[in-house]
Amino acid sequence: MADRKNFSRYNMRCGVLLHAKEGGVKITNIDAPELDPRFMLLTGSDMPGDNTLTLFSNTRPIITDSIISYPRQAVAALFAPDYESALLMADEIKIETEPLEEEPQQSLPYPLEYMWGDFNPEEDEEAGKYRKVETEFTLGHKAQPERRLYTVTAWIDGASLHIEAPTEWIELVRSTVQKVTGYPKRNIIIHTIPYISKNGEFLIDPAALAAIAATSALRTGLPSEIREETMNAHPGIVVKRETWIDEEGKPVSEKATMTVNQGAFLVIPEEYQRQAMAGLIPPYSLKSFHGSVAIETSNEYPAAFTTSFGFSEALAATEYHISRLAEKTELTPYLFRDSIEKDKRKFTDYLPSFDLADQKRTAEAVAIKSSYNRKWVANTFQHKSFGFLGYIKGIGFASGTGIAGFSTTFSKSSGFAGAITYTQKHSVVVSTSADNHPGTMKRWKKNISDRLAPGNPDKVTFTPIFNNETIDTGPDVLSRIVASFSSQLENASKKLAVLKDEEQLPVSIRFDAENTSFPCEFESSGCGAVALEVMIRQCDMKPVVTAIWASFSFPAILDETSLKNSLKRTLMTTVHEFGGVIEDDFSLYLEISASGSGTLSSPQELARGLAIGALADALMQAGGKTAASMPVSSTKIEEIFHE
Amino acid sequence: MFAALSSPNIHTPRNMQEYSSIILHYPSSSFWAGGTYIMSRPDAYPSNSLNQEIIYLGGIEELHRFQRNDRFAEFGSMVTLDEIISTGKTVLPKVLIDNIENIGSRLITRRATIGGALASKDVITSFPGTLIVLDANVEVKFIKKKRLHSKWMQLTRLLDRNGHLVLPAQGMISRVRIAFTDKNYQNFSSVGSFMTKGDDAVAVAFATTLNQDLLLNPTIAFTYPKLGILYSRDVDNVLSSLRFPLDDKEYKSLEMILFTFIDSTFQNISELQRARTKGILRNIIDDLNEKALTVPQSEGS
Amino acid sequence: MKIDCTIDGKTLTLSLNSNKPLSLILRENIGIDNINHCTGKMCGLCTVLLDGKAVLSCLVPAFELNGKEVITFDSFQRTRAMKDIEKAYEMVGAFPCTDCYSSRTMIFESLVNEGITDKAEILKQLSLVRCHCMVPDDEVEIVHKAIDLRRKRNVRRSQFS
Repeated sequence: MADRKNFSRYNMRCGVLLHAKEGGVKITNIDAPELDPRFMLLTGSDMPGDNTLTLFSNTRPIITDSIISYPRQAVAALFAPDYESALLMADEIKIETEPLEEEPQQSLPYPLEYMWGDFNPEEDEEAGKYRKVETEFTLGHKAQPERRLYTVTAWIDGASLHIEAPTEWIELVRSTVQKVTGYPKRNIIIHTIPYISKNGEFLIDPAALAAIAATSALRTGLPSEIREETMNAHPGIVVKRETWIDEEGKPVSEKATMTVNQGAFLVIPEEYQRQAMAGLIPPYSLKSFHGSVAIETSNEYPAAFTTSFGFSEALAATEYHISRLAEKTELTPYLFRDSIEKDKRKFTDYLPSFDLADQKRTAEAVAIKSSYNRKWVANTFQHKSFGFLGYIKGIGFASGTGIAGFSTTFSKSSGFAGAITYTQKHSVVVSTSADNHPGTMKRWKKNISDRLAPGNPDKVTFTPIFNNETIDTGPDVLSRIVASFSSQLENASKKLAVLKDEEQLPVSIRFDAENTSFPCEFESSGCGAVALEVMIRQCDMKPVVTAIWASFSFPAILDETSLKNSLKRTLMTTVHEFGGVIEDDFSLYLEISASGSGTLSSPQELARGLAIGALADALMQAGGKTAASMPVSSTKIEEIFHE
Repeated sequence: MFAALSSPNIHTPRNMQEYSSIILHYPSSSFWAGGTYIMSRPDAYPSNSLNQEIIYLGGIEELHRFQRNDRFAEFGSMVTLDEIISTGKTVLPKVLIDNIENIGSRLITRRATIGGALASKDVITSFPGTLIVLDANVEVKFIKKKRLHSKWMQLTRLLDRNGHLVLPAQGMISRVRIAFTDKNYQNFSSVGSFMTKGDDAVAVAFATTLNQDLLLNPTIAFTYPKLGILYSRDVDNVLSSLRFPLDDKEYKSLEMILFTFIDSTFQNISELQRARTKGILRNIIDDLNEKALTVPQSEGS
Repeated sequence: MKIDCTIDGKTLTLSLNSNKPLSLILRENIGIDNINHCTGKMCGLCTVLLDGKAVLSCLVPAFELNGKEVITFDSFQRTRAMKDIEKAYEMVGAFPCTDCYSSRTMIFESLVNEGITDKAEILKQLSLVRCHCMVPDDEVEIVHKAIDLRRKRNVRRSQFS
């Protein structure tokens, strides 16, 4: 990899974006004062090539040139010799708009439906035997700038165009820059900045910023940096569910409808539907089930990946619903789960059949550690009453199974791949675009060199090029290739160890999802349970999360400390994202175990789903249904108790 | 930096004489104490709206002084909140110490000054309310007939009808004097963030002497950061007419009376602020009820 | 205005706007990207040591920097003191996330330096970092462990000197 930027900051252009104030309008005029040559204003029409960012089949403008679809959409970029000048001048530029006469329609995918069984309790002869339980689970669309600034820099060095950015998907940056500037892909060198992507903020936006910065660098001939605030944008979700339960409270038939508001632009909606469906299917057996996931758009900020791509949210809705079903029996939600979940989970097109013993074990561990049953009963007595204590408590419970990476359908159609080559110089070249985690790269190097170049890990190098083309291993989140990359790399190394002695060098093996057969859309990747306690004090109405107890079981654990840290972080940030307040006396109990062999994948997705589900459940017990419509806030809680 | 953004002139007087000549030369200057508030505004930098003449008060040695005798403590306005805690934690009134500790991290209290906390423009901090309850006096320096004058006055006298502290034009608080109090019940409660969520936040400062079932000399101040401070002798009189313990009916009636005062001063108090004020009040009354019902150790033994 | 100060051991003369916040000076003029600037949202992700004491650099204007010494995480991470904090992270098995690593580490250092062991005081100082990636009990344990390590190192040094 070429050296990172090494140029004077005093000889560079600093850029800021001009954002739209509202969505659903049309730009009529951009009124800018006369700019001296040191400034450069880039509008949509100034972009040299294709002014779009393409996420699979969906596109969106990088800088809009006519229709403003959502608030905070980029309307122009302004480059100046320093940020002060850029920001002050940006204030002088006025964007005039008028309402749209007709809103442009995006082609939405049909709702994804999945069903089994034709048992209809309403038409059944013994209809009187069954009762219907209906619930609604809501996660409001959220789009707010986080507090974090990040920069994307572009500069030219000889024939190469260098981009420095925090990015989860290197190939998206490269292909977007190529499309906008026309610069050959091979000569675009990406330098990644270490990042933590709590809300998928570095998946899409850095690619657009890189294209803008690259345009400025090419036009001015000067290094150009652009600065933005990270956005936390997650979709709005409503899950309506009706379940028919028998006299003992056991569910027999269910209908679940999920509606997703992805904001102004669609983000791989078909894949979202599949992942959401995997979370929507309940873990208990049913005579009949009908699930549907519909995607909508709105004039709101486009949602991104938020650790999960629909699965966590759907899983949370399912877990929330199970606790509501439990209310119809005399059992606590934990005991109810234990009574309705069989030993094996039903095989569906979305998840294979597997033993639920591990899941039940984690649930039991959490229930015991948190004294769940006792607390649940005590809190039930105190429902909606502050009493003499001046506070009210709720305890929530959720348990479930995680999924690994992208779906089979998506992985096969996306073309994400990797390759490994044994060269004539007896060195090993791994072709992948996912080379942004030094820790993982070190581990891969060691594993590969053990097999192909013993004791010489430096003979293993990584490159994004394969057969003179750049290779796309997919985004850093959720990729099924990345999820099982380690094992695929391992298998390819094994094969290569034999081939290198049999065939003429160089010899390569390309691996992708296309040649692998998966029985279902997803594989299970560990399971777990979470209990969470919420306390609402009368004096401040804050939804304070006082404790979380969690237990997880994964197929394999590579680094226990890192995994525990990551899970703790996910549990806490998820709770915070949905309005839970964490104070100094917060405590977190976490245990993890390995169940055998296999690949660990997307553990945060499972933790997120269970945290949301448990939080909603706890809020429901403490404050009732409205509190569970998240994100929760002190204002919402005040409204409940004000009634 | 070159695009019409000019750098403000910073005047750094080292004593009051220098301050006096600067303020007479540049009467429209802004004051800069710890800068905690100014720097934390979203549009603080870059901005062309900032005053081009700034007087940084941190260099004036006199304003950093702290002295005390057996009746009161006196702070220069540039004494930081952290210095107040470290020098006077054992002797200063609990309500003031609690207020400072409530601010949180020392990264803030090391920079925030008592003068800045009292005289911030646009936003009201929780300190004026606390100092009013403690019947604090402040020394105000102001220009009159082209000369610098100074005057000691009760902090309550600076409070206008809308609950804002109003200083004379180009007035500056130079010293704060806090009398030691023997009030046996002091409570400072603050909910919500004054800096980032002013619409939801509320602070209540309260000090009194609970003598058997009566409150002697009660003083209470309610602060709503974007609205102002409610302090009224009438409210204090209502409190001194109570006999503890209060039952639920008496409590409800007290709550109603207090909200009549609050609503007549501030029309835009949010429902959350209202609920939080009620919550704090409930805690205070519960506390007083408990204390009124507990036999003091000296009597029990 | 001209400002003379020392940043990460380098003596510099900078020509700056008098009220430019230190956080932006570090980002824009010095090129340190791990310092955040949150425009008044009090994120706590811009902590540096100013004359040895932890401060939020967004609250420090340029004119206050004259003659002062600033240490950012960039130079602090190469010091022996950092080793104590890193070791404490490992011993407790808890690490701050990439976002808040530098700020939280600087506050940990300031707490270790002052020898603060009181749980409430530790958490109060750390409460400024509005990033929910660490459990409060772990934070307290890190400070205790780092103080222990620092003390042992100082004792060893004094024995050998």
